[in-house]
Amino acid sequence: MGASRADIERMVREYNVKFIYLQLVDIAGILKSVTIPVSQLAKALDGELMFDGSSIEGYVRIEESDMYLRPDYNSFTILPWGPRGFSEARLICDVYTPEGSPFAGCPRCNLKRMVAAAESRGLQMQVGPEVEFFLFHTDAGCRSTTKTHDRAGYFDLAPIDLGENARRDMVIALDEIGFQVEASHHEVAPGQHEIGFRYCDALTAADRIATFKHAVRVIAQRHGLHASFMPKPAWGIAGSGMHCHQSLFKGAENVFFEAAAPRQLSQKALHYIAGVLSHARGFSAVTNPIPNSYKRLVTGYEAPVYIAWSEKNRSPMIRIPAKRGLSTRIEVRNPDPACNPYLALAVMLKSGLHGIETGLTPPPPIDFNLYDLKPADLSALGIASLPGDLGEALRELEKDAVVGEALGSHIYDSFTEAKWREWDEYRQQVHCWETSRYLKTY
Amino acid sequence: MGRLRVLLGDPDSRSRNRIKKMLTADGYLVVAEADEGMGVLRYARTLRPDVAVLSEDLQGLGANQVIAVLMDDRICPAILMAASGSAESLLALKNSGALGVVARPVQKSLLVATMELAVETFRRLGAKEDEIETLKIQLENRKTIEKAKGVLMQRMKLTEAEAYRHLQVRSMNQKVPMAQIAQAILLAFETTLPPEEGGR
Repeated sequence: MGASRADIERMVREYNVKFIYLQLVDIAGILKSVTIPVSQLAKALDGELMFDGSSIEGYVRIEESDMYLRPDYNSFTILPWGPRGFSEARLICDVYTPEGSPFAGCPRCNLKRMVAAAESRGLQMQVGPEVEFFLFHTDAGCRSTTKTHDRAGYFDLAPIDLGENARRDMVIALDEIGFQVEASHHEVAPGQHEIGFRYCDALTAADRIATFKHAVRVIAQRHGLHASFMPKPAWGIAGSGMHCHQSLFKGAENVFFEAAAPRQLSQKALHYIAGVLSHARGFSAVTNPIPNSYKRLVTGYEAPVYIAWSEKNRSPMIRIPAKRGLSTRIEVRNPDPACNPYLALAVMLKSGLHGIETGLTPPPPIDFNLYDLKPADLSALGIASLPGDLGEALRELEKDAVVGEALGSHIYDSFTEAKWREWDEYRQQVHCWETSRYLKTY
Repeated sequence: MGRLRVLLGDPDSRSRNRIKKMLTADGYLVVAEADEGMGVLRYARTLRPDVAVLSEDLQGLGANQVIAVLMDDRICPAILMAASGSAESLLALKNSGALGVVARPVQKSLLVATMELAVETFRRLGAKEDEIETLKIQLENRKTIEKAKGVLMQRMKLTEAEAYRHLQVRSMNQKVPMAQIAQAILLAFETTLPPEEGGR
């Protein structure tokens, strides 16, 4: 891309853009936007538009609420799902303080800080995300159900698969806004879909994940479906993950690849793997941020449970895809699409870099199915598990200074405060399962 | 007359039954009935009806939003059933995107005529859109060819006619549309400039 101000102004004229969405992501990872008419564009491009930060979850206290939005010119995109007759566009923004410095509570600015830390060692993180989601039917009140099109019997006779059709439109729309979709397919569970897109740098990847979720929701609605990125929307079926393929580059060279090394993985790659594994328990609260996330991380559904790595097996947390050369990469399999992509990439990058800095060595790879092992065998092998619930993950986060540093104190404080509140609320609830099981028994 | 495939969208099941009977008696086929907006879209996408007859008080996704999708994606035209026949209530639907409006209680002859008119209008609109689309592509192609001509004139010191002939000959020899040849020439020209940034 590499758009200049003049490019943006030209495209706004050419495409008859009437409204522009200034987008930012809050700490919970929810995309927020401030909509401006095109007459305000010049002001917005100058970074002079102010917004009330206190209106956004996890941002600031009331007394420090005035924040400035600084659009990233490269993110300028005409939205292909807008209304007819005129166009709408979006710009992703960084949040700045009135004093003109990046705001410590802005997840995007924070990821930039981590990217810069890697850059200071000459390293650039490349990320290829694969996002899974469900397409559900809605009921009369437009509320989402957990009925999928495959199971909603009355469509059986229709010649057209509603979900496939919707996904095709999503891929077309994503292509129009410059995503290079690598693969899109039907997943394990009925109604589950996956769209993976091409490698790009960490910041672009996070921007794309945020945009992706928005696009998928909008297009699903146009097909009468509700797209859900909830990690485990129903018991008994596979959950939705967000596997993150990642590698480090030095210029045009992939530093994870070393032709002569065992497995053709460089020392740096091994250190990175070790770093990610050693902080996995610490960063789970970020990559798997809601109580429901931990219902996905159970055995039997291709979701990882154990902190280990493998070249072949998909049960450990890190898998090394077979490709080498420029495509040498690791696939971190525990993140789910409920996470804030900016924070998730920041903590994984930081953990990997920490492994490189301290020269950590990973345990030997595991090339058999870990689900078959008994707890005693696992502990004999020294294989730990990911946290079992959000509470445990939060306690682990509090113990992990490296992950804390990746978030920065502002985000760390707001994040843990909000997450403890969420966990307590969940913990105190009486769930349907309990009432249906115990109400009559006791 | 007859045989149009109709999709009904109405929260009230009694009213749906009435309309369905009315249409079926005249040889129309009601292919599906939905009680809310998202359901209308699901049926519309899977069954591809010829026309959607929707109640203005559609729940879930509102009638206007549903119609916008039906029209944007060129699925089918929609007509709306207004709550009453007052000028006010009918005119309120002016910007709904519907290609016709009938008032409740629905009169069969009017409903049928409105449906048929909507389908015909939709067909004509579609033809115009196709034409515009073709013209747009032609215009884009023309622009690309002009640009490529400019590049050839400058780079190869050709006259305009020679540059055009050059493109034409290549296109004929390689059996590739001229615009595609022009695109390739522009691309080659761009890549001979110093690259903006290193590859991945």
